[in-house]
Amino acid sequence: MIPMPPGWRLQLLAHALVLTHPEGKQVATIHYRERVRPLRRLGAIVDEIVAATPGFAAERVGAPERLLTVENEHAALVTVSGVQDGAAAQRDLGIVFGDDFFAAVGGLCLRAERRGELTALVRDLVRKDLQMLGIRRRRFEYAAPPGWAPLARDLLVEWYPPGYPRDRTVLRVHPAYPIANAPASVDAAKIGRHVRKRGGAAEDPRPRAIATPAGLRGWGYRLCIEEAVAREIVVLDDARYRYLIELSSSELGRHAQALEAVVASVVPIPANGVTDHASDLLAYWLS
Amino acid sequence: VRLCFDLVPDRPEMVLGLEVRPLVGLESFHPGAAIQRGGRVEIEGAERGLETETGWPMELVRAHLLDAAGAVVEVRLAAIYLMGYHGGLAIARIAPERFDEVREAVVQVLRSARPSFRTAEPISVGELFEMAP
Repeated sequence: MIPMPPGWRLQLLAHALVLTHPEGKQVATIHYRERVRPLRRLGAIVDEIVAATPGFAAERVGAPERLLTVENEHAALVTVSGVQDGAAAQRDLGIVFGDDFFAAVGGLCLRAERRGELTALVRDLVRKDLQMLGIRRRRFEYAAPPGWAPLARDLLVEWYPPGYPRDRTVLRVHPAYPIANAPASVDAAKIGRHVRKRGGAAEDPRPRAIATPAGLRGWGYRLCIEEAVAREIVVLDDARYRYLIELSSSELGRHAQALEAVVASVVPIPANGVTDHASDLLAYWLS
Repeated sequence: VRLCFDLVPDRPEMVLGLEVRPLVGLESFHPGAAIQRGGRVEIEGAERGLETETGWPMELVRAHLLDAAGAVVEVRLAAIYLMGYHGGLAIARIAPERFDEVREAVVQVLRSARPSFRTAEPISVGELFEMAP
C-alpha cells in the first residue's frame, strides 16, 4: 500500500487504484496494483505493463535501479521512454517483490518538464510501499554456482552440476528461517543423533567455524549419510535469521569450492525498517 | 523448440529437423502420442536402457511416417528422457534416404540432452532483477 501524494486525486478501480496529478491526467497518472500473481522477473513485468498500456509505444527501456522499501523488501525502478498517442511520454515502473507476488507502481508522464518529478515520486512511493509481510521464512540473496542448473521446490532451491546425475551431487539452498522459529541450537551431536536415528552410520560430524564477508557466522558439519554419499551442512546465523546450505555428493571434495563460493556470497536479509507514514494510510479511508 | 542442424557441412541439403518438447511432469507425459501424430506412423523398434552423456535414462524409438500408398516419407527417431519427476521428448525428423548416413550424428545430438527446469517464475533474489524474461 502506497501513501497518497499530497494534492493527487484517488480513484479506485476493481484491481487497482489510480492517482491523478493535481493539474490533471494530461500531466501524469499513477496506477498501483498489489498482490499481482504470478511473480515474474523484472524484465517480464516491465514488458507486460508496457504492452498493456493503451496507446503507449516503448522506445527505450532504462537500466533497472535496485531499491529496498522502508520495510526492506526488494524492489526496483525502471524508466521507459516512448510515445503516448503520438506524443513523447515516459513510464516509471516501480516493482516491489513479495515471495510469490509483486506490487506495481506505474507512472505515466505526458509533460517533458515533469518527468524528473514523476520519476522521483514513483521512487518515493516504491520505497514507502507497505506490504507488512513481517519476519518470515523467505529467500535470501546469494551467487548461484556458475553453470549449475536450478530446480525450485517452492522456497527451497536445488542446484545440480553440469554432469548430474552421473556426478551425484546436489547443492540445496534452504529459505532463511526466522531465528524464533528455527531449532534452538544446531550442533554436531544433535546432527549425529538425528542421522543415526534415521539409519545412517555417521559419527558426530566435526564442526568447522565459518565467517562470511557479509558478517554472518556459523558452522559447517561434514558427515556421511549413506554409503558413498557425503554431506556438508552449513548453518549461518544473524540476529534474526538462520541460513542453511547443504551439499550432498559422491565427490564432496571436488565440489567443496562451489559450496564455499555460495556460502561466501550470502547476503543477509536486510533488517526490517520502521515506517513513518502509517498515518498516510488514513487518506484511503477518508478520501 | 524446433532446431535445425547442418550435420554435414559440405552437404547443405542434409538438414535435419529436431523438435524438442518442453519437460512435463511424469503424470502427464505421453510421448507415444507425440511420436505418432501427423499421419500414419509405424513404430519400428525401440532401444531401452540408454543414457544421455551425463547419465539421464533415455530410450530411443524409431518410427516411420507413411503416405497413403504406404511409402515411407519420413523417419522419426525419438528420444524419451526420464529426468527425475519430469519427462522430456525430442524427435528427429529425417529423410528416409539419409537416415543411415546421419543416424550416428543424430544420436550424438540426442544424447547431449540436459534438462532445464527454468520457468517464468524467478526462484532466487538475483533472478528477480533480470531484465531478460
